[in-house]
Amino acid sequence: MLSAPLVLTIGAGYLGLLFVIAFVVDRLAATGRASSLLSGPVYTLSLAVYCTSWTFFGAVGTAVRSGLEFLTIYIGPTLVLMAWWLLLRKLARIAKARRVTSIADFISSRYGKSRTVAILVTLIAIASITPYIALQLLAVSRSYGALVGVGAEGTDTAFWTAVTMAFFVIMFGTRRLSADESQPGIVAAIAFESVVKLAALLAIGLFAVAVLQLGAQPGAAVESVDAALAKVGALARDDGARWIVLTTLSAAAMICLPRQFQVAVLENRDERHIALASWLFPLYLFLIAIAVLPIAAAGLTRLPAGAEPDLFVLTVPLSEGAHSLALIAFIGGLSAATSMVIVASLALAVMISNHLIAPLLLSRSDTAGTGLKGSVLFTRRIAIALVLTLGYLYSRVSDGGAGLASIGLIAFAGVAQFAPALLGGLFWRDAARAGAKVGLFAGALLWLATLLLPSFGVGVGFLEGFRAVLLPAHLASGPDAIDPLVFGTVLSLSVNTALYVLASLFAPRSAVDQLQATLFVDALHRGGPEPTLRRSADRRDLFRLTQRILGPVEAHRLFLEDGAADDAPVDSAFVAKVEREIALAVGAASAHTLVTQVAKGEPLSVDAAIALLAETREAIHAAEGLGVRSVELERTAEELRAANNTLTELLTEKDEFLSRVSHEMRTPLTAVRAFADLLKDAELDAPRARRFVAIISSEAERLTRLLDDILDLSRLEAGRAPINFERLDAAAELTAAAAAMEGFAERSGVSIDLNTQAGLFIRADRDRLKQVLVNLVSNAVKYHGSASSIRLHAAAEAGEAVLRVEDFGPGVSPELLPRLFTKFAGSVHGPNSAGAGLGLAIAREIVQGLGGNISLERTGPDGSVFCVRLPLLAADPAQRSKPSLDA
Amino acid sequence: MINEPPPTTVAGEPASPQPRTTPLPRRARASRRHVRAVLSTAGPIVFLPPTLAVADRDVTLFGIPALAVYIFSAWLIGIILIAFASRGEPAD
Repeated sequence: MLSAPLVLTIGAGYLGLLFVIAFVVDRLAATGRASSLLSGPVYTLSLAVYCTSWTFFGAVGTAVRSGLEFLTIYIGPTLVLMAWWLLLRKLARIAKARRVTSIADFISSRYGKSRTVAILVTLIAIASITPYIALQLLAVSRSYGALVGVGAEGTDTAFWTAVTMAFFVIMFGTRRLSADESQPGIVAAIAFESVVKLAALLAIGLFAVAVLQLGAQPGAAVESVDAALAKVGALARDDGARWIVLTTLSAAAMICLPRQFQVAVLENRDERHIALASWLFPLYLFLIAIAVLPIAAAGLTRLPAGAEPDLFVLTVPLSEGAHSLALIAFIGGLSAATSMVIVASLALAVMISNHLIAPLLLSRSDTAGTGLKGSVLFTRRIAIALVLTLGYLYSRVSDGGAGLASIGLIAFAGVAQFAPALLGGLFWRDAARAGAKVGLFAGALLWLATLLLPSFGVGVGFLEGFRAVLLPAHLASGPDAIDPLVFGTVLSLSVNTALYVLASLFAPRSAVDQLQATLFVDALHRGGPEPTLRRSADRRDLFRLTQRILGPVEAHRLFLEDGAADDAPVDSAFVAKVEREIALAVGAASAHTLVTQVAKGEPLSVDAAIALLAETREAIHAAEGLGVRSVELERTAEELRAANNTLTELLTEKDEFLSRVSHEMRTPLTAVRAFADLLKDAELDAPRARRFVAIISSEAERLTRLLDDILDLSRLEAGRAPINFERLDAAAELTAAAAAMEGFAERSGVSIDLNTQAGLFIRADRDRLKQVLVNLVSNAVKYHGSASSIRLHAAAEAGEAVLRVEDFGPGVSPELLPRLFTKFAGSVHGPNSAGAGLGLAIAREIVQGLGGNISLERTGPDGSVFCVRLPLLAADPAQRSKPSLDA
Repeated sequence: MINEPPPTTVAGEPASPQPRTTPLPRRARASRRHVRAVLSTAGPIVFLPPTLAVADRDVTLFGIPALAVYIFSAWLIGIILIAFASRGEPAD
């Protein structure tokens, strides 16, 4: 045991040192020389305010009771920092851009500067954190008691710690309302405290490793070192849910605890500091955690069974006679407790003054002389004293009770209620004010009923009933019952999240709400001017307001910077700037209310909506642009493919045509040459010679006809064949064609039946049309088969003159059908027939040139019908005059 | 006394107090972005109860149970990886 005066002197001296550090750094910061002091490592160390006395003493206790479960508290924040690129960076950037003063301010800002949201967050924070502060004060007095033993009763160390801390925070935390809410003196002090507590815990950890070499003490809780290590390094396998819940809670706590938000987000000066902390802070936690194992094992093997595990950190060195090390442990615990108390009370005080008290002060009108700043600072001081008084009273009321032991995790669960609104607000554009309100309210209510109140023995019966209603019997109570922390956390957070999402989806949203959503969600990739609400205000009104809140000096400075004349109206950017400055004193919600009273009109919703629309459109355009481009590319590629296919087909057809033509020309040429040779070489009689010459002549004629056809077709295809349009009667042309083929038909033993309707007037080239019809009729005659007649029809159908040539022959062979009207079709009825088979190709070119079409209407074993359709002339003057002439 | 706010640009961005020393090559930055993405997602998986159950063996290292060895090693590897991924990262 150590003497009380010694411990008190050392403790007081340590706290005095904190004052010196804070004072010096504050002085340096005021003259702009602290920037090198407040660098990345200091930022990282300030994050370590996370490790309170609950960690310093309690982690060993948890390790003894539940094995490795204590690691969850350090793994959660590690995971958050590993994802710093997504989360912390964005939080810090928004907080800087929006001049946020606390987590309540941040969340309320996001949800349209809602005061209700700010008040809800503040109240939840007070309810969670005040008992947590009590826990720290209690840790100080209990560690003092353990160190001094008898004689400790006379000194209420918890009280004196609370008083000293209140003094410290008021002195360094409320000297001014700085432009950002940063407090360099306090940050430096807690960074120093973080070094102290880590060094202390590591020293005791090393000492414990040495002690473990001595083996187990008789009468200890565990009989061998190995058994102790196995106990400490084990994990209850059946409780994965608790592991997950604890990890999630501690991850959430890393940003949702007001003190963590203060140091991690508000005190961040440079995003590179976060990058450094992303691995340095996990390393800090790693070292803290690794020191816990040997201390716990040493306590289990060296101390008598039944010793309090929560005090092993002190009692292990004490029992081995290492008194100075025990004193170091006490100082480490003191530093862990005081750093938490300092930052937590400051963060709470800012929230209380900005969101609970400032709105009340604003209704008073007697502040115009000095500005509201003085009142705000005064409120903060009162709030700090109040928070610490409450914390002290808590610690007195539940002194030694089990209630406080679990408050650390219950506080985590309380502030975790902020997580849905905070994270949703960062990444979900549609998250709305109504959702945040409803979610926070319901989550807080359930947390109160299932976790906080029962921990003080209030409403335990209600909780039991609640569990019995919600859970199956074996899970509600008994050996398999769900852990109360798991139950309360999962229930409150799921209801919170569900209501948050549902209300966000279905509640209407105001313009401010939508504007703030854009500013928060797009914070990392915003280019160009930032959207502001369109407002204009009378300069003097705005100045009066600013003076009332910030005082004349600040107000003059602010308006001088703008540099415009006194009577000039102020633009929306300046109004927004003034609102931000005022928000530093009274919070975003109150500032918005105040400025809106002065700023003229509220046509802002329209402008804000337009700005938002424009932005959305831009995004949509960019996305659409990509889509359109890919569709265009696809279409172009498709067209190219089609063109390529057509070319390939044409090429094939050309080859076929050439081979066909050479074949067709070869036959007559062979005959001509053979007969010419005969005439030349052989002695022929005159009749035979004449017959040969006649054959040569007819073959030459056939060649000529073939070449004529080819030439004709190529002229038609190239559009070079002259077409002389005139008004014709299609029926008459069909009759004429029939007459021309009369002789050929008679020789073939075929009769031509005509069935025409007169007066089918069309515009066409007479010779060309006759060429087509003669070709069709001659084909029909040629392939009349066993029938002795062909039939020709001419009729008007649906504005067209329809000419049909029908035969009763064997029909067109199926393989020929697809190519029937191409110039490569060959002979219609087989390769051995006469003619090159260009007739139908020529016919198609001509009919198309005349504006009509030609088709094979029907074909089969009982005959074929070819059909030519040409547009009838509209009833033109000549046609109209005809009936009148008849009449 | 009135404390001057730190210099800020119009958009509220912090003015960088000191220039970055060596700019990273584009590829190195891209690979770091990937490491960061992997760490953000793999981190939670490494510490999930089913993963821990796999590591929970009846083996000890200097008397320390395998599970504890696993957790601390995974933790340390994560720290090293995130240190690599965040090194020399510009403030953007």
